[in-house]
Amino acid sequence: MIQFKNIIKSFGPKPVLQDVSFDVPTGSVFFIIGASGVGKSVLIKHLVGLLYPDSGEIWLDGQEISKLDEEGMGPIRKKCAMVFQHSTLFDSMTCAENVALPLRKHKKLSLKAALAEARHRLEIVRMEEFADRYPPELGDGMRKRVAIARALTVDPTYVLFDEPTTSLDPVSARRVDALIRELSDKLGVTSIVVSHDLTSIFSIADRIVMLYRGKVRLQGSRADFKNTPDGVVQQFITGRATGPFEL
Amino acid sequence: MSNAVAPGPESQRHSHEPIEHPYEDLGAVGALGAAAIDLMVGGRELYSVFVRTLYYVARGRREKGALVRQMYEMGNRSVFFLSVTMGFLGMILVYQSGLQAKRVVPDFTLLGATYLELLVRDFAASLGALMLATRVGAGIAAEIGSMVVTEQIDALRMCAADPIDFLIKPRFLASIIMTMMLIIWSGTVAFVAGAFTAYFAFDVPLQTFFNHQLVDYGDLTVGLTKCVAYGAAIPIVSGYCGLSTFGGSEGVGWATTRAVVNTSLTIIILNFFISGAGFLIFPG
Repeated sequence: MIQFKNIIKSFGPKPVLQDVSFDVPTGSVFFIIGASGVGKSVLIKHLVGLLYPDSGEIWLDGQEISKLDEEGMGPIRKKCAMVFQHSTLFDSMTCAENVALPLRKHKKLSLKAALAEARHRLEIVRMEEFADRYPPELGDGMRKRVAIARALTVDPTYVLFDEPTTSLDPVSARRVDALIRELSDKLGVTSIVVSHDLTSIFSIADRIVMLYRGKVRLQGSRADFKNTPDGVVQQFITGRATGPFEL
Repeated sequence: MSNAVAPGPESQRHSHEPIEHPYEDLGAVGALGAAAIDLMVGGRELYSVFVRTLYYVARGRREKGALVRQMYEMGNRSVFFLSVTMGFLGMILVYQSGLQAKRVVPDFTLLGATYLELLVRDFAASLGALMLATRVGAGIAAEIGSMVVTEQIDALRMCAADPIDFLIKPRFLASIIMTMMLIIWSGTVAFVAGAFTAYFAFDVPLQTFFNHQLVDYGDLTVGLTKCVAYGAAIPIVSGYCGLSTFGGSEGVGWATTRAVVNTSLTIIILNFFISGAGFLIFPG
């Protein structure tokens, strides 16, 4: 269980998150939605110590983690893997080497053992035939799948996806959606997905929270979002150009 | 030892945060104070990067091939640039020195010997390192800065790989080795270029120019110390500039510029202190 409690974060004079609180139930596919620049990615980076809140608390399985230092964040990063928006594979390494890196660092495997395990992990995301290729040789969807394989190498309980379907073609996007759903259904992984891809949201989300102007606007199920009378939420989820939604 | 990554508060900036001009509203005194605080914080973070690099070097674990790859990138790819610039600088230095000598004492017998002493003790290392700062330092800052804004540094942290260990350490070791090699090579090029300039411009015989009687162990020690110091400074300063990048592609541009300026300044300051210490220890 993850709990964000009264998170406040500013960059210089610019407030980004203003008193954000919500819980993420274990085993669910949990979406954080909202306009670009509202602080969705900033929020999930707090969970793994890539950013720290100005005030507020973050609880992960009963442990307060918002004040842990880099060393203390090591086990948290093993428990919560992250798939970044642009995949962030290392271009100088093959796909197998990319996937092997956390195995070597987190699990202290030898290079040979890590590479063997990496190939197995690539099989899970159906990328084994590209194990020896370099990331620039692959399409966006393939890179994303390799990034997911890399995130899964540490057998995380939670996986954070930062806009996993952005810049993907519709078929690749739906494949990534299916993979996220599969992780939750088959492996019991809790997925926290930052997205504004409406198709993804309304096909795989168990719970959704919407951020609007730095605050939580609504949280609930897909049905709650579809049935809410809130004009701001309705405009966002229907994608209308006019209405009360302010950028 | 913490496996912290980007130094201090810089890591708290969002990599896509647009560049703002923080001193605009502070007034002259406020801006000066803020700049002084920034400088102190920067100095502390730079020191932290240096100490952590030394820690990882001492710990001894190395990524296979990373050192050789960096040595190739820094060394082999800089040979032509350094040879050409140092060759031309050598020719200009000897020509100008010859013209001056001609006006005062029209005797060129010690032209080669004094030029060699100057090269060994100071010019080869300092000029060569300044050239390397522009090529290698800018490259390091641009590469690491791009990794920051594309979240690759965050991805490294998520993989439990400290960027200091993973990125700075191999560049640090490669730079010390290759700066030494390149400076010895380019110093030789500058000397030979100077010898031919003296021969063609002032009729100084090559055997007269190739005179090492003024070069002693003190000169060699000072020169080699500078090579090591500059070789260490280039990746540390430019790596720090890269790690503290923020603000997207514009930020990468700023980081690259800061890397060249700060590395050059560091080299000049180090030159002052090492030369000073050299004159005290080896006054001859």
